Amino acid sequence: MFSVARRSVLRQARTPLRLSHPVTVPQYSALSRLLSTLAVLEQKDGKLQNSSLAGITAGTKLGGSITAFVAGSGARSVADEAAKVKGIEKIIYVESDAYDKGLPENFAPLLVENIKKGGFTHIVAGVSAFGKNLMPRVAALLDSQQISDITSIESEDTFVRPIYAGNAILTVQSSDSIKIITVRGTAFPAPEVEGGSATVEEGVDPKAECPTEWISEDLAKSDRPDLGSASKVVSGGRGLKSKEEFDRLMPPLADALGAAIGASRAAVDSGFADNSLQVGQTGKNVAPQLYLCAGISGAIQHLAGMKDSKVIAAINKDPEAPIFQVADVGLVSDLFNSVPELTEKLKAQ
Amino acid sequence: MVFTNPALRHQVIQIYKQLLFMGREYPLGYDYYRTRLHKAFASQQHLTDEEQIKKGIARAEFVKKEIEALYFLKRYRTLRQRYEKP
Repeated sequence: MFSVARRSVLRQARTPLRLSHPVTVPQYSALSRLLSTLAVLEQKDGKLQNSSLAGITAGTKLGGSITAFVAGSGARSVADEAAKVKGIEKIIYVESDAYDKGLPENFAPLLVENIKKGGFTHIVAGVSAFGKNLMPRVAALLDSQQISDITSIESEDTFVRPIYAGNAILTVQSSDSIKIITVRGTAFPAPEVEGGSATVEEGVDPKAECPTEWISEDLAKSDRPDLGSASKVVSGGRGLKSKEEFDRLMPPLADALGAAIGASRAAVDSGFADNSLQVGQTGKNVAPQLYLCAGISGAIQHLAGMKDSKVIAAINKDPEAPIFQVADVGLVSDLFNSVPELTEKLKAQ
Repeated sequence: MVFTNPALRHQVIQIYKQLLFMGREYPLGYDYYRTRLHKAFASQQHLTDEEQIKKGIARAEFVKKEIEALYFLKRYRTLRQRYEKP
C-alpha cells in the first residue's frame, strides 16, 4: 500500500521534469552531412564473405558516405572485388598475413587506428563469429557503447534491436560520438555486387603485437547455402533417430530443394548433427522463405530461432504433435517414407 | 498404501494445476488439452521412487516452457501474417 503511494508521488514529481526535457533529440541536417560509415568486411582465404555485406546496406540506410575496410593477406584482391559492390565510396585495405584469421587482439588496434585516421562516425560489422569477436574490443578501445545485433535503423543515432531472445524489441538511442554497431544479416538484404566503382586505398598498419596464436580450426565444409542467409532451410530433429539416418535423409532433400540444413537442439545434443547447424535461441537465427522441419514434434523453444520464416512446413507422424499448431503446412506421415518420396518427386521436376 | 514425500506430492499437484491453467488457451480447445494432460499424469501415478518423481516434475516443467513458447510463436506468427504486406 505504502509503496504504491510512494511510486505515484514520484511519478508526479517527475512529470514536470519530463516536459521540460524533450524525449527526442532534434535531428540536424548538418549532422547527416558529416556522417560517415565504416563497414568492416570479412575475408577468408582471400575471398570476400558475402554475409558481411549487410553492413553496407545498413550504411546506405544511415546515409552519408560509406567506406569499407578489409585486412589480411590478399586484401588487395578482396578490395578490388568489393569495389564493384554498389554503394561503397572508398575501400581501405591493409595487406598483412597477421590479420588473416581476424584475431581481435591485433585486428582491433588496427581498426581503431584506421577509424581515428578516417574520422568515422559509425562502425558497422555483421553478426558473425568475426564481428562478435572483434567489435566489443574496438568499442572498448574507443570508449564507446556497442549496439549489437540491430534489425533496423530509425535515424542516425537510433536503432532497433531484439532483446530477451527476441521476446521484446528495444529502440535504443546512442549518444556516443562513434557508434559501434553489429547488424543482423537476415534483417538487411545484401547489396548489389555489380555496378559500383569505389576507390581503393591502403590503410595504416600499427603492427600491434598479438598475444594469441592461431593454431587450427575444424570447420564443417559444405557447398550448400549458408544457414544464416539461405532462402530455404530443411531441418531435422530427434525424430530422425540416429546420425546415420540424418546423414542419409537430410542432405539429398536439401540438395533437391537447394536448401541449407538445420537441426534442432535435441538433434545436436544427441550428436546427429554438427552444432554449427543448430537453429534456435542458442544457435542461429534464420528467416528463410521456406522452413521445412522433419521429425520435430515439440522443441518449440528452440524453433523460436525461425519465427520470421515465411512458410513453416512440418512433417511428423504424430498428428497431435504441437509443431502442427504453429506450422503453416503440415504432413502427417512417417518421415522415413515421406522424405525419400519428397526428394524423388523434387528431383523428377 | 505407500506414503510418498508430501513436498513432492505438493509440487506435482502444483505443476498439474499450472499446466491445466495454461490449457485454457490451447489452440485445439481446453477439453482436448485436459484429457491429454490428465492421461499423461495418470500414466505416471504408479511412481514411488523420489528420483523418478523428480524427473517427472522436471519433464512437466519442460513441457510448460514448450507450451509457453508455442503460444508465443503462434501469436507472433498470426500477428505477423496480419500486419505483413501481401
